[in-house]
Amino acid sequence: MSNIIKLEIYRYDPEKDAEPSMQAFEVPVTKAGMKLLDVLNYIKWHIDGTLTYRKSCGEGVCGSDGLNINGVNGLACITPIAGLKQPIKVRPLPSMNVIRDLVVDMEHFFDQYRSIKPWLQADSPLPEHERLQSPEERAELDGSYECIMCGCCTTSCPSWWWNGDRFLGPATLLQADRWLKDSRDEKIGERLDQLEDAFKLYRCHQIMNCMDCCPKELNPTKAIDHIKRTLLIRKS
Amino acid sequence: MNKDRGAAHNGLTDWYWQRLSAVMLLVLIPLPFALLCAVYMGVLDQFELLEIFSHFVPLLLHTLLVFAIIVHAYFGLKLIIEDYVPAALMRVPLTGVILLIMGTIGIWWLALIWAWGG
Amino acid sequence: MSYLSNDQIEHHFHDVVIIGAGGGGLRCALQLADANHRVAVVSKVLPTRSHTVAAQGGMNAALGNVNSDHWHWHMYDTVKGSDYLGDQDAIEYMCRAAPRLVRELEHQGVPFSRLEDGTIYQRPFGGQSREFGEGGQASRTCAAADRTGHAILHTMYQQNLRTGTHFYDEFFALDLIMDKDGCQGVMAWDIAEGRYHLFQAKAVILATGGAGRVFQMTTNAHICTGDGGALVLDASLPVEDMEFFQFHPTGIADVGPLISEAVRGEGGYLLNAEGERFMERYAPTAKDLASRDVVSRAIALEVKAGRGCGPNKDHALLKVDHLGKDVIMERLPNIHELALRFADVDCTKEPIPVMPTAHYTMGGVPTNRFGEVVYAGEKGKGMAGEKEKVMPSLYAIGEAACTSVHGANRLGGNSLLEIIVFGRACGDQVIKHLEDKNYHAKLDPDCWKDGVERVERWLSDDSNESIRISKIRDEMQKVMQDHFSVYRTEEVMAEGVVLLEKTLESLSSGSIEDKNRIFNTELVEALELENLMALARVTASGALARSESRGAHARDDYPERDDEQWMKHTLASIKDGKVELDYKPVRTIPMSVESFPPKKRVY
Repeated sequence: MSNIIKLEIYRYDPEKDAEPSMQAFEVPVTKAGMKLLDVLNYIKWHIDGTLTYRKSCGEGVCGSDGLNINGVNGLACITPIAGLKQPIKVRPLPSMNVIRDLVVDMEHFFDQYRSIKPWLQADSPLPEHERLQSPEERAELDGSYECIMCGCCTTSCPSWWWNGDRFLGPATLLQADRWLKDSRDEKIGERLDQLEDAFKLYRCHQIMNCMDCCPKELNPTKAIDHIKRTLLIRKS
Repeated sequence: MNKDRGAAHNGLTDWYWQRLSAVMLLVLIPLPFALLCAVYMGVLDQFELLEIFSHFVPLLLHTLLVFAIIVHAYFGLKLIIEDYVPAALMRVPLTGVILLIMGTIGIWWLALIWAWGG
Repeated sequence: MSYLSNDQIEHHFHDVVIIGAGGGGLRCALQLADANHRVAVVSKVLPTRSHTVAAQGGMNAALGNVNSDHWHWHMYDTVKGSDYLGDQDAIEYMCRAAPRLVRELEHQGVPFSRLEDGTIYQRPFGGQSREFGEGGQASRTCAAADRTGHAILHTMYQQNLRTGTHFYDEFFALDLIMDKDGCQGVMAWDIAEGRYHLFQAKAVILATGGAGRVFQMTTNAHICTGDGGALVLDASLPVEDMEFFQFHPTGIADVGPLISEAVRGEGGYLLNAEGERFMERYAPTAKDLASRDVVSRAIALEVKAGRGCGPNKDHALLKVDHLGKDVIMERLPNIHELALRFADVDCTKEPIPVMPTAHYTMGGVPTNRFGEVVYAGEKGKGMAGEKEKVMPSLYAIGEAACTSVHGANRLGGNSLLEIIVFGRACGDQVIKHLEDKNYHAKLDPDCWKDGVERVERWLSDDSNESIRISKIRDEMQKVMQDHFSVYRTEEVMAEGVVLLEKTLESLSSGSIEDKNRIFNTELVEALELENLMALARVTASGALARSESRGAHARDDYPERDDEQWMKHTLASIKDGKVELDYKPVRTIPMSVESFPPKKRVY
């Protein structure tokens, strides 16, 4: 491997640019196992301080740096440079309003999350101790509670691109399913009522981009399918 | 601003019929193909083929097939319209037109085969 | 239109403003919002990006689900772990509250792992014992696999969505509005819009987290820049015990990401280059589950003795593969993922390379056990029994605060506990405070100026000799790493203090390239650097002055703990550009039980 990394990065400065453009950068390899975030940091700290992107934990658990990398959504901090074709094309998450460079507006995404009432709802009196839940019941939550809300899946979903205003998208539906599956939640009926809608739920056509790009290797498509089946069982 | 209008309690029926018709197609589509193959291989001639279709059970299966095709096509097209036509003012009439076309084709086809059998 | 002398500043009125949206800030917001107060959470990142999300192992509480346990034993372990620098009233309060609050978290929806009988899964962690150190290892750490922080942060966020807390995401706090009656609010910069906001409130709560980024190598997120401590220093108030910085024994070598203590709790152990399980020598009883400062120092000693692993002989190995793939994937899935991604090691087959890495800020804004910010009375009287005073309307919680429940060394699993316990306690205290505080105070119409100046200094392009702020930050982090990490001596630290003052000078001629207002992250980095610099200075001065070894503060030239002279908290403030040190006594009297007197720490 050569010791220069070539990149093309999406740039848009709302105060100066009328149109976005791609800017080429060349960055030296500074250590083994470099991740894309290291490269972006190198540019920001040594070449061009105006490059704008979000970052926080740097280890793939906070979900700040979801980006479109060579056409596939992923987290910059856990995407190794080694596997990427150069020049690496780095763009913001697709179909989102770009605030600046690689930073997109996440407001609608989180509004949709809030719309499913993503908190435990139960009317039964609280027990003195913890609510009991068997390891098997708890295992049902594996594969959904780990979601970090980075938005990679939702913004890779063509159905969400076309109908993002109404379709809840994979991330939110994965969380909706998490509450359906949680043995402690008592509002399954109301939750299903809120989901049974051609636009909110049934826009999912099993394209499976969400599953392909999820940095945490979760499977929203499967979760959406589970919601559909639960609705069917309720009806029949 | 969240102006969520709640759920319309639709979609499940569409999804259900689309799945059901898909399963029916999966079962029924091979049958006419088998018959066609039989004709090409000379096992059946055209009259024998027509003869088969004059019986009640094949006729019934044929009817179910038509039904499945029409239903599946209608819901498929409706889905596409919902995906790509954002304005309700366009989407609703368009869906109506599709329903009309599909219904017409279905009735015409059924009339044809039943008249045949009768 | 407000009465401020600048109408470009949006003036908000809330009952309470909380700076920081991590677990502590959100737990506190929940308490207040449930009591129907208008709460604003001002955070420089989206709430779910806060660093609580990265906490792995779990949260201590004497539930006794696995084997018998009692909060008093938990208290003993915490006092011992703190190397007797912890305030015992706060520790008692925290350990007593723990079981109830863990169950409350469960009721709020945290997906804790479970035992066969359906109760919350608890794992052994470092520094835990039963029967005051006599009854063997305890299993006290409640866990949601190895993603406990993530589970708790998301649950807290969800609960705040339920209560309708006002979130101001991606707002950077610039300056506390202080007057003679205490804290009246905070000036903030809207990062996305590039505009100024003044949040006026009847109470301001600092929940800004730690300052791990003062070091070059850290497990902390890029956002952990000690903003709360710096705001307080800027308001001429002291910060406490900053010289106590926890180095986690198992950060991934050369990269930083944390490998949870849970790995050792589940049965993993450390090896040196000779393949020896060296912790047996340093801590014959607890072995690999000794307290973190002990394990970190042991690794450092092994490396010093030439028994380090790797080409540079600078790290140790953490062996887990003997646990078997099933246990690893069920209990430690995130660790498996991190090791694979950052060390290129499949931990079901090979050991993970680890080294002590800056992890947790034991120090912070001095508070009492109600979260109220305190300061010593007259200068120099701190030790002379001068009663500490409460700064009205200003509170601090979590890692940003120094309550001090961790003293000189934090036990694993006590940080998530601290944010929940004191987030809630502080909320309750603020509710009381609001009972007789009906109105917002009238502010000085010019009170916005300091905050605005802080930003405009960077955005104006008058500096002719420009040093990149990233260069200054690198220098500062390197000084801290080289002169103030696991091993400290007079000579090395004195040199470090001088170098640090030099980088401080270069900060005044530092500049940024980005002069835009909309989403200027370089500006944010510059402001964060100012904050880090202030905290690095007080850390360095406090460390240099403390001539003993206690907990995380280990000195070659003073290897012993000196309770005669040093069983006291450092209070460092910056007055007229100079760091000033003062001290206050440790609160050794608990609320209801007998005090634990200092003893030699053996694990």
